[in-house]
Amino acid sequence: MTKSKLVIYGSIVSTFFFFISVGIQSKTSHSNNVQDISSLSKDIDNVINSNQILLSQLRSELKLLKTQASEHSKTLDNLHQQSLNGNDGDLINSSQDETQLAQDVLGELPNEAELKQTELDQAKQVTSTLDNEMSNEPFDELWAPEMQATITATLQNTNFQGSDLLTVNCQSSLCRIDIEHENMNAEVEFLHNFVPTAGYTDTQTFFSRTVESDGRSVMTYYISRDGYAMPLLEEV
Amino acid sequence: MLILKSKVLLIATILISAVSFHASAADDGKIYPGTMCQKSLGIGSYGGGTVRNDSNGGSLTVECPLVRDNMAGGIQDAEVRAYREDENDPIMCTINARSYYGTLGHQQYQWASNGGHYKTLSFSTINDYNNGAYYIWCAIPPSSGNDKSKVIGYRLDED
Repeated sequence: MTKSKLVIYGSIVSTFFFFISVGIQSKTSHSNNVQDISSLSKDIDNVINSNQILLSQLRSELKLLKTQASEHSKTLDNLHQQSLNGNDGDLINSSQDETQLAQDVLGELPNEAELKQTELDQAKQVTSTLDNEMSNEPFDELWAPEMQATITATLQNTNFQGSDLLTVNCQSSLCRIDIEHENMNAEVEFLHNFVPTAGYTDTQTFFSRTVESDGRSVMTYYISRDGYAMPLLEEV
Repeated sequence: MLILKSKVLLIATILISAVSFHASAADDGKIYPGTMCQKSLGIGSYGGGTVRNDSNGGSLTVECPLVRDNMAGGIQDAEVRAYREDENDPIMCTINARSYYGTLGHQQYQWASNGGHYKTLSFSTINDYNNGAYYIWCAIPPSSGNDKSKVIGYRLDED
């Protein structure tokens, strides 16, 4: 066999083996891709299953929370009814038994003393903020004296005979009224009817009150000028 | 490849559904019929989902409960839909946010006295207290005929 023929045959054979090896590699690569996809698919299946389990757990917890909330609501209604029978609906003077019952049912909520103190602190914070707002406002000489006179005259209306005006002060967008109500009925009458009786049509108010042992309510009351909003306070 | 894409889409759908289920359960708007209001002072009756003033001389005051979903959130907006038999009679409502023990309260008043039998009283954001309750109070004007003044319904949207 001549050298040239040997070279030709050798080339053909090596080319043949070359294509065979390429074919084997691509099959291996393809096989690897298939394996990768299969593995990824299994991972995805696992994630799906885990999420389904998690979703099922969340649904169960939500159902439990709804049941507990319903029970708490019933217990709070009972507590409220008991305190209404006791002392004119002032929840602050609830008995120790009610406190214990509330704590037993409400579980993780802070105790009553802490909640009361929190409200007292909130009252101080809000009145302090509104007093600062008022002191930073100019005195509107056209509006403020007239509004103070209107408020004073309104509270002399026979509808409000259970309420005693202590002080009234207006600036340019807010008025502060310190007032005492002889009982809860007088307070409710004031809270609902003072505003329309005084001639306001679009206003916002804030009150803070303490109830004395004889049932009197001592109230600090802020009212915005008609068409003005109360300043938005920091969430507490 | 098609199976792979379908599975990815399914995972995304499950995750999005879980998030929006939680969100929608907590903070969606709620609409209430007038029949949920409780009569306070005056003479009234319930019917057709509304609370009606049966008096031809005095107003009927009602207190309408609101369910607070989000204990730490606030009032985004609210409205009351009412009907006045005499379109010149004023109707007034307040939205009230009280503290847990009721010692603190914020109120917004809205008063409608212009023309039109049907009125919508709209309320915007007011200050509130975590864990405190909300309610709406209205004074419904008197009715002299059969088509009575009433609160038809009301709505609250929370933050």
